[in-house]
Amino acid sequence: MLRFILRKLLNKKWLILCILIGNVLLVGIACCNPMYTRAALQKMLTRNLDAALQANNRYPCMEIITAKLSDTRLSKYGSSYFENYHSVPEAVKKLYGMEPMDIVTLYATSNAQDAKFETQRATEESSSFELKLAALSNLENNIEIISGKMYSDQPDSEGVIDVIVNETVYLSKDMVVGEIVQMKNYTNVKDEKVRIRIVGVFRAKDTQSSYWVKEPLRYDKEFFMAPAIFEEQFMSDTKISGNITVSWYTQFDYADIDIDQVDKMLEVHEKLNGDIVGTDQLYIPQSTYQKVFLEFKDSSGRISTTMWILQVPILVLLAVFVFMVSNQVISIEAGEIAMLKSRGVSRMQLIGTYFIQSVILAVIALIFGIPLGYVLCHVFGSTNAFLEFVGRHALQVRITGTALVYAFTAAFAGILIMTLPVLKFARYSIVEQKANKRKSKNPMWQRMFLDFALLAIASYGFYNFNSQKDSLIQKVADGAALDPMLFLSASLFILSCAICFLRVIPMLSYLIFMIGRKLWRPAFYASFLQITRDSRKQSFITVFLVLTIALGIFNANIARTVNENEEIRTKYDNGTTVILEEKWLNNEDSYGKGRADKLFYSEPDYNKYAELRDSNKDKIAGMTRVLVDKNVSFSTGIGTYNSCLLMAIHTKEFGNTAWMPEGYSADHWYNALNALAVQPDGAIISSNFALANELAVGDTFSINRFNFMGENTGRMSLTVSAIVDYWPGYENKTTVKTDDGKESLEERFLVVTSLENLSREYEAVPYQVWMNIKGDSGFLYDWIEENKVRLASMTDTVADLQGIKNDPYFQITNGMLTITFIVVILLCAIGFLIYWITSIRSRELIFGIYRAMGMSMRELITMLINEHMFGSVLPIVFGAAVGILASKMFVPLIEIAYSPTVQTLPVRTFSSDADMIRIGVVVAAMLIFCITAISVLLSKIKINQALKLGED
Amino acid sequence: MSEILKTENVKRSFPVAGGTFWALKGIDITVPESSLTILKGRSGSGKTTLLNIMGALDPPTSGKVVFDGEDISKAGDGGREKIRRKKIGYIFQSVALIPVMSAYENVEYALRLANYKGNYKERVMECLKMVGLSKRASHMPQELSGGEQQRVAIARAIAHKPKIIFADEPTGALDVEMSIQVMKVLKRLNAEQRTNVIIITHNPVIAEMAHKVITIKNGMIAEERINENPKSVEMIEW
Repeated sequence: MLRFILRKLLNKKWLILCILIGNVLLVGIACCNPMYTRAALQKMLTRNLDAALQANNRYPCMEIITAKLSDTRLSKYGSSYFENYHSVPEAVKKLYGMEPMDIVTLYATSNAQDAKFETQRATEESSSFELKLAALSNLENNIEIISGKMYSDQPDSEGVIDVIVNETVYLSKDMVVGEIVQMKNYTNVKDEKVRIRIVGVFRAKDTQSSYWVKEPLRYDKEFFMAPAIFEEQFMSDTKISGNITVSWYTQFDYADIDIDQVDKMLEVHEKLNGDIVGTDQLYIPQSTYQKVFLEFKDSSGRISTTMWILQVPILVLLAVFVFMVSNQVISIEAGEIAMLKSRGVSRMQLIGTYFIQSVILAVIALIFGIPLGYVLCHVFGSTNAFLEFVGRHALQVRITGTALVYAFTAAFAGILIMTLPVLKFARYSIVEQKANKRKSKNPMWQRMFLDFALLAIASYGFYNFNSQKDSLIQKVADGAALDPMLFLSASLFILSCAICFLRVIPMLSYLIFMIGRKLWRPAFYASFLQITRDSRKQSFITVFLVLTIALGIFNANIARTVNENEEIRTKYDNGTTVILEEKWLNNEDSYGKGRADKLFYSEPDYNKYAELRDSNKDKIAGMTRVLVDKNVSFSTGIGTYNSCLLMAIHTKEFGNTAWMPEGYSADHWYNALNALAVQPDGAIISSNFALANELAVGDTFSINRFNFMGENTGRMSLTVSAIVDYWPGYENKTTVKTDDGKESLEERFLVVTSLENLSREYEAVPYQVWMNIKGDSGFLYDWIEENKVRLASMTDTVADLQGIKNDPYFQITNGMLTITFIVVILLCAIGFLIYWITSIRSRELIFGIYRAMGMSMRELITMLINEHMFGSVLPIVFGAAVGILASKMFVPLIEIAYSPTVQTLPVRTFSSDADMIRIGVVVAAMLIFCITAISVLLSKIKINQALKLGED
Repeated sequence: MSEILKTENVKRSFPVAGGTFWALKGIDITVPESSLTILKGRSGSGKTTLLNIMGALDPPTSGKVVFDGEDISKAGDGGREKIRRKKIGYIFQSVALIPVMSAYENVEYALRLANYKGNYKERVMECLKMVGLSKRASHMPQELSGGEQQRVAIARAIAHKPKIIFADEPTGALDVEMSIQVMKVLKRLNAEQRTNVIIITHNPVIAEMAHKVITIKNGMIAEERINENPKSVEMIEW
């Protein structure tokens, strides 16, 4: 039996190879879903934790239990949640069930205590100071003593306790090693005065070590003693000296946190929180990861949904492909099946044979598919944009249990799909099969108009989504992912167009045929009849071609649109490539405290920028000063508006430096700049401001500016010289939190005026330096470092754009769409070749007849090319049209899921000529290869052999 | 008696592993005008190779084939195609109708290929009538029985009024009933239209109907027999 099946498989090795490719891809793509989602999420989690570390300068994965101990609290709360405070670290560790990287215990007096050096100082004031008595567990292993020695574990005979301090404390207090400090009021549990001796100065061995839950130099009041002494001296079971805070920092290695642990850790923390707050107020649990984890959970849902939605079309397409080729194989074997059936082989036996065959293929598919899925994950990880790859730090991809479940499910689905066609054929014996051949009715779905029904549903879906655009935007703003129904509607639209097209082809070719019925040369005559009368055989490849081409274009356009809009948005929102804002010396501090009468800002030297520009003319295309003021109100006859945006510019330089995408407004923005340049008190205003206040060019309005304290710094009158919809760096809406906590959008007004004009009326305040940098901005970072430029802020568009490319949401989208596109083209080429080659093989006899009747080789090929025109070229052209149409309809809606809430520039659909050329080249290569293959195949057909003339 | 076809020392070789195989080793045949000729021989005797050469499907390796006064052994692919189109009709063992064309269209297609100058419809119907299928003109091949299909093939083979018809085992795939039908048509064609017919067959009874029976053996003519009084279809016991 097995040998029979294997021989059967080898017999049709090419077709079987195609089925196998389909199955391997099916398994590979299915199992890369969980693997990639997992890897991407893992990367995102680690990155988010990393970002939290950078932002807060402390390890992001800590459970901190703090106990604020005092006599009164002890008596008030009595027994505690933990058996006693010694058991806290163990208990926390046990609850988490994870090995912590470090558990650090910090004991310290809650407040700084008065102390004084016993050694005489010049003044009484200089010998008195405040300190905190403290102890850190395991300190000895994490520091080095740079002066003096380590503390001892025992007070000396006089009861003086050894302490050590860090360099900051040591230097600031002007102390000497060996000096004794007396606590003024603080006593130990035995009510004895506390005396400490500074025996050493320490420095952290490794400031980056996880041990330093707080930066080592920030212990600027702490005098450290041995923890055992601290406990013995200041804490007993019944008595506490003053107020003491003990903190247990349980640290987990954030780089090791697995996404599976997120839920569990959150749960443990919740439980700790609930239990402790419920039973005992002595302890306060606090986690450093909670915020990061909760945010992560939000976006992880969005990412896995997106992955699914993007993946379904390709899985369906692969399933269709496998079905198509299996059907082809089985229809070739139809005669054999019918013969076996007639000889008494039962239907179940037949199905069993094919089932085993499918299982063999599925097993092979699993063997190759799972590693393929693994490789695909890495490919996804290295997509930079659509069809663009970079060598990026590899994702940590693991073959997980879930991935195996997906792989096996896909393989099982493959088995079903492969066995399905045989059910149809196994029903008939040879007689029935021949009888069946004679019936040729239109297929069921055509008679029931299912194609039109599907098209109607898809169109309704589009209409529905399109009319509810606003609610779609709101949903995305609330954190929803791409709506699966939207994507489904788009796929359904493409599919229904493809099957509607099936009705059209025979009609169209019949029409052309009838027009020239008498005129057609024999080759065309025969091919037209072939197309009109045998269109059912072609239907699958027709649908498949339309589907693949349309889906390829559609996906390419989604990817391009999402990427391009995001890029344009980022560049537009920033305004130009690099924006620097230096820290200006100022007296905000003393002015705020009322110690200065006048607020002043001192402008740093701008010349250095001019020099930078002059020495880097090839890299800096433009540079200008831009004053961006958000503390402005605009007043018109109609109203006064706060939180508006004022920009003061140098028109010519701004024109060279700022970036505006072309084609969004009818009037070029340079015209507005020119209008402003010739009007000293002029202003360019945003159209929403103009609209709300019925302002036209020539009208006047006034602005009021405010300082950081909210005090009015002066009023100025301006005349409208131009009205614009968009402006570099200007978002026309802003989100505000409403009372019910939801975000809503509010109009934001813009006024642009000349910097020169503004400087005449107001004191100088910090401005930004805008630079239009061509290519890499690396030299700028070096320059900033070399010149020790103190920056208040820096915007680097190149880095922002890179950030988008690293965003898992965009990466998944680009990766998935790229893979889909490649697979689509691959399937298209394979499907096409299989169809034509098998179709020609099955028609060898007919070709022999044509040849015997005197038809030349050239005519035969002409005939096939004509068939190609209808069977392939027409569907390809139609597929391209459907793809473009579907893009126009659905891509703007899909783009919503990728847009931020505030979207100033209208979303545009982008398509790349390069993609179309790619599709075109592949398709053309496919056609040429196919026609060549067919010609070779045809020339090999020996007429006499084809016709089985005689038995020589 | 003039002749329609004549071969002179026709040889044909095929390259085989380790040398050359001579399928035909020098054949001299004369086919008289208006005759029905039978080619007999075992499998591998070379009769189909001979038929291919006489029927302008294949050129001989050496020798001469004169068909209708023209030496076709020197004609190229194009020349042979033209001869096949205009002057030759084929009937094959396997049912060889074009499946997407009706009986009428199958016959008409031969006229199109031969660029027939007369009225297509009249000629097609005439041919179909000759094979007794004028009522089934609009049927598609799969709606016809094997014998009917073969008769349409005959109608197609004669439609463009070829000088000669080659039939390779025309009854090979048919049962007796249908074989009789087919042979009747061929015999009548020969008798009434005076069309030349060359048939390859294994069936000894068919040979009794021929004017001339040529037996091929090992690429050479083993026997050439003239039948002065060929039997009619009705006279034969199948």
